[in-house]
Amino acid sequence: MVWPFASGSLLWWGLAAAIPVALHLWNRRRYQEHSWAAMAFLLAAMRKNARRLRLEQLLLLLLRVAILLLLATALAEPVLRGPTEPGTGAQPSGGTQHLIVLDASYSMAARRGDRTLFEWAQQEAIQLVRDARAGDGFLLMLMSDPPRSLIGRGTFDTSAVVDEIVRAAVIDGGADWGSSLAEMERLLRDAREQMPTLTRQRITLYTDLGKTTWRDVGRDDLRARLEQLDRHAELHLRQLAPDRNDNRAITRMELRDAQRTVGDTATIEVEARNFGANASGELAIELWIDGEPRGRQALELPAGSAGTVTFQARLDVAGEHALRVVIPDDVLATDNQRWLSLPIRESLRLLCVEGTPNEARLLRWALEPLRGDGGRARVDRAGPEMLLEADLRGYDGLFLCNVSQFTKEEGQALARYLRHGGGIVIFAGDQAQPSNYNRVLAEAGDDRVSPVRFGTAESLTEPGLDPGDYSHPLTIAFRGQERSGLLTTPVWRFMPLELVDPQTGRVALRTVNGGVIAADEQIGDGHCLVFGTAVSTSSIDRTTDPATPWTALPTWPSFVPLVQESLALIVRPDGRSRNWEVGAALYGMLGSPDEQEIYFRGPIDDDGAWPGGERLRVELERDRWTWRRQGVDRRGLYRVEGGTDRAWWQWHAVNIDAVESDLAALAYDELPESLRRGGPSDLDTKSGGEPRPGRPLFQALLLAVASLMLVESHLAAHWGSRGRTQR
Amino acid sequence: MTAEPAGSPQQPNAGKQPDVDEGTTRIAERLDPRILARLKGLRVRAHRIVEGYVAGLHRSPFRGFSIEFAEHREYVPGDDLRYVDWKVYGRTDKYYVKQYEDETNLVCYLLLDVSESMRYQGPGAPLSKFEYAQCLAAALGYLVVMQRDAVGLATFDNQLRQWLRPAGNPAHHQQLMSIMESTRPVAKTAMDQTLHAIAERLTKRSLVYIFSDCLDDPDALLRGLKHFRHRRHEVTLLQILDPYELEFPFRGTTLFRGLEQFPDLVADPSSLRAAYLEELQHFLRVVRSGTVELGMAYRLLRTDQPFDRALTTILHH
Repeated sequence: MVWPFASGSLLWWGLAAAIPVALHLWNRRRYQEHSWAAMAFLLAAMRKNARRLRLEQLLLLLLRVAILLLLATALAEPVLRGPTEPGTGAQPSGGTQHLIVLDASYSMAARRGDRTLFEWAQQEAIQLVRDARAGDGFLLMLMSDPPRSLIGRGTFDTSAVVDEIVRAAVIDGGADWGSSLAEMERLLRDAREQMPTLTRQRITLYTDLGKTTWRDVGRDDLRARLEQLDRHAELHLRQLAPDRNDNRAITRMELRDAQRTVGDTATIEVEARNFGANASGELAIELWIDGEPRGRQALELPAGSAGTVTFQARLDVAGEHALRVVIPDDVLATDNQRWLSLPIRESLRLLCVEGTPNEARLLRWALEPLRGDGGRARVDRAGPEMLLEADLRGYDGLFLCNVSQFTKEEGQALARYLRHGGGIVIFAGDQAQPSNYNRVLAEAGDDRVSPVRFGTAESLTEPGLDPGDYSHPLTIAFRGQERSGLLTTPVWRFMPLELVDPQTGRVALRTVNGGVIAADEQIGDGHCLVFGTAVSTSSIDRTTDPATPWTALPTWPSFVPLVQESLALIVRPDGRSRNWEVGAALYGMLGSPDEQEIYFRGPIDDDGAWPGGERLRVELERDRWTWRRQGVDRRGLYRVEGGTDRAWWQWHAVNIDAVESDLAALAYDELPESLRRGGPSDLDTKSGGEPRPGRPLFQALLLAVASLMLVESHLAAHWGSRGRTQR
Repeated sequence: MTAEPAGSPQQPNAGKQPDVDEGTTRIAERLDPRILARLKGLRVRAHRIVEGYVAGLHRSPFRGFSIEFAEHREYVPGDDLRYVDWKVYGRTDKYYVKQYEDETNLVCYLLLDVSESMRYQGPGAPLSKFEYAQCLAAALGYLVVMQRDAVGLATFDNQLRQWLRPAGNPAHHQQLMSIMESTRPVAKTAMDQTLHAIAERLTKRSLVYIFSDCLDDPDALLRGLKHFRHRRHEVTLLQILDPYELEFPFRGTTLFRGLEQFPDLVADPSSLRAAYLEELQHFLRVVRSGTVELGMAYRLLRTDQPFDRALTTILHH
């Protein structure tokens, strides 16, 4: 089947050609009746003119049908093809299967003149489609990570291909040559089966040859596959280069010290990099919070170097906050901004579960040192029975203090709480039963809560704690503060701990004898920290005479900072699940079980305009109402809204992986032979078989339509009026 | 006599001369077929035509149809100028003198075609061809009887249908009109044999008026007429056609249902108009020339033509 049309679908309008025929037939069936006396003359006139009349009617009918057919053909934008095989002047016997590959990594958003590289690629690809021979088939894919097939099944409809090319857009992510190559192989293999008449296959690849995307092109296995592909298909590579290579980007924006509650101070660390060959000069980095400028710092970046600035910000209003850092515009706008979502709580709510009465009395003071005076923690104390009776989801952190043992149900409740983002700190003590802890908390499979197994309590000959190199977040604050009391913390008895998973678990503190006394692990979305000793002075070692306490930790100067650091470690700032990378699956959990769906909108564009959103279903997952959305293609700020009349909302920040910000292109010599046959100056010169540009017949056909309409009206008027004028 | 419909022109007093002051317009209205078509009854129509016609002449119709007047001949030097017909001079620019004969007993025959084709009445036409011929024949008969001459009637289609011997009294004229009124056109025309049969019946040299659309074979028609000429009758052929037949102004696909056993035909009239009119004009030329060659008078009348004009055409030729 041949489609020499730019807008083949409009050929359906040709069916309108049936209208004159239908009208002709209808008119013949619809007539007036009249008794007539002078019938002899009428019959004679008919007898003598029947042939002429039939011819006239047929000619008029043909003219009207032809007018409509030509009009439909003109609308379909036919293109006249010339001879295409060089020297032969003849059409090739079989058509060509074109595979158009557009590099959609965000480096293609770099500017060249008045448009981006991707827009140039779109323009050239559209021209390729329009210039293709009648009967050529088309496939279209984006080179991204993962690659995407926009037209995965070959089509001859060039207008549909052009539409898809126009709709295609840069993805704010990278691209992967290996997986893209595999996708090309698959598409062409399928096309050979689906369209066996297309004997030639041709891949045209539009790319900036960015080093990041093409870094694997020289790998042996990929090189071999490319050569294999080259045997089946002609490879044409069109390189598009930006105006200049002086891109600067914000490559990182992190909360170093997350603010959780009102009045805390947030520390935001921002890294910028100069990917250009020249020094950046003074690069201004601005911090905006909730649409208001809140800070500005300048950075001098030598060519190829990175630098970091730190902003301190204090948010005095509880609620959702959106942070944005931005640098001045340059050749690539995509990487000049980053966003951060930071929800601020009014206060934290904590639960201390006491195995013995008053076990957490001192812990409570350590957690809530400013109680009643602007304190930002509310602490409840309760017995172990509350693990099943209370709604744990309402607490930001649980402190399990010398609980003797846990039931299986209690263990499962703790596991659910942990996986949904809760924070748990376990303190051992003289009531704790290691075997029960291990069975219920450490060896419960998917319901594991503890990062460690608990050993039988043992006494220390020498008190004191060893923070190692102070690399653990729990001990960082003590670095350089040796006189703060951490090293001399009086611990005489403890349960030695053993990491369940050394890959993910971390040792925070050891005894002076080397035994592990504190360790932590992120489990699910939550965090669990275990101390192998007690949090009160009431745990007694009765094996000695006289009996001795396990520890005097709660009375020691290091206690309050250690508890506060533990709190900071386990209580996750909500923002951790609000900041994502392009392509990552987004999700969130809701407290209310009444929500059926949420509304997902974004990204907000640079002009502050909001695009339309989409509704996402909320479903119950492991006791939590959860919404999910597949990864988004665009970086920026998104908003999740819910509740009656969208009463609540959250910010979700999506940022790029800055790997594509380096606009340096692959050196020509690094390209495999099959991709550089055209020569370094013009990589698409392998175009001996290029079809000649088509000549649009649109205007000629419209002229023909107008002429036929004139002829038709003239003939109709002439033949229709002949009787009147000759009367 | 049928009562005149309300709102129609008032019937004039039969015994009273029309008032000249009524004006030409009113007289013309009286003789317009559209007005006459509102009157029911042939007698009323005929009376109205005659009265209107006479009033339009501004002189007595009886003098115009004089018993003394015989014929015109061209003026030659020496002729008495008193007998020059100045009216003819006014029309023709030639001098003719009237020749008078002694009073003769005139016999007039009215031959009325009652074939089915005469029933035709085009859209907008006030009267059918038959009704128009009826009116005209009745008026003419009335004029003859008023002159105390004899008038006879023959109706025909493919045969002689009815025959009324000539007589000159008013009762006879009433009978003549009754016959015409009771006649319905239904059959096919065959003028050849019928005219032969009628001509055989005319024993005395007569004035013959034939009222017909002549939609028949023209050769057959002329053969029939020839018989009259042979008997030296003064024949006037009044061919009556409907305006639609003469102009064929139809638009849009039309099913023509043939009268007189002609087949039906579906056609686009606008595309056939030229050819039809060509056929018709050819036919009319043949009839006209054939009639003239036989020394007869020929008049083509349209059914929308005012009757006074028709009578003038018939009587003043």
